[in-house]
Amino acid sequence: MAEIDAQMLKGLLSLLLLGLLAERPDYGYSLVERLRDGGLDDVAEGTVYPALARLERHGWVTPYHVPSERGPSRKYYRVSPAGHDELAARLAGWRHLTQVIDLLTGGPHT
Amino acid sequence: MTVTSSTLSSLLVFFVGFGLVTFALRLWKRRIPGVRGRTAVTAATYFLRYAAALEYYGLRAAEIEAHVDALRADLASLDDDELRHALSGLGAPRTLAAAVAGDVRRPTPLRGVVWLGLAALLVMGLAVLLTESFLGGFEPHAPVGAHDSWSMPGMMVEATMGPGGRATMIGFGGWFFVVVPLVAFVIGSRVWRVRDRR
Repeated sequence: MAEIDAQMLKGLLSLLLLGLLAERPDYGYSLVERLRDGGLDDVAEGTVYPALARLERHGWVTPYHVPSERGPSRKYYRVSPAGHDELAARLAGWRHLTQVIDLLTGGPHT
Repeated sequence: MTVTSSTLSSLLVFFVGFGLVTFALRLWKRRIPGVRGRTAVTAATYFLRYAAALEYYGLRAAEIEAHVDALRADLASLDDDELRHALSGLGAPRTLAAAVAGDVRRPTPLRGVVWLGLAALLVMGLAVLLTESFLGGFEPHAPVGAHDSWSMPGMMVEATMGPGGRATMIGFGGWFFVVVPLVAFVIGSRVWRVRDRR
């Protein structure tokens, strides 16, 4: 599998997390696992938690707590209405960017 | 009241003992239920350092608890190997705290008070030790009624030899006792962050 540049991944992490949370509400470590299962093997926990905190500060996700069998209650996140708008805007931006890249590099490379 | 070296030693033992007990209780509070042995200590220490780093960046107590508990809860379902791997993936607690805190930089008055207390204890201890040392050279040989003095920046002590082999002392100045703790408070509480308070 092709390696993904760490800086590029960092820039895309908010988009990916919003996308995953739009599918279903989830908690931090589960999101790390979903990202890894999705092919981002090198994603570090240390980048996901700060990204979630940023999303929360922007009001794009809403946290809520679910009691856990072991230890303190688990913090889940769901996408807020503002988060759905942000996701749509970022997806549109990403699709435009990939079209430009395809155009400039001679079509999609598989 | 006479403060002697043995009083200082007792105080030191008390504070070290109190510090160790507090540290152990804090580790216990940050543990992940069900995790035992070295991994448990590693994890609890990580959470303790993470909480301290969040406090450094000026997050409030409730925010710190929320961040730390969220992380503890997430990692509670992992086995020992996964937990060690996850802790390594989280990176240094201070780096994680800086990223999680974002651009929040608030003053930390509680830390300032702790620094103030420690600085006050330090200067008082220093003054007592120096005075004891001065008296050690003065009392055994001075006749009744003899005067002598010693000074350090911001403070002077005058001793007059009394009957019974003990000197009475009068202290002058003392700005040293105010300025040093005050400087410690200013540095510890990061007062300058008031400017960027949100």
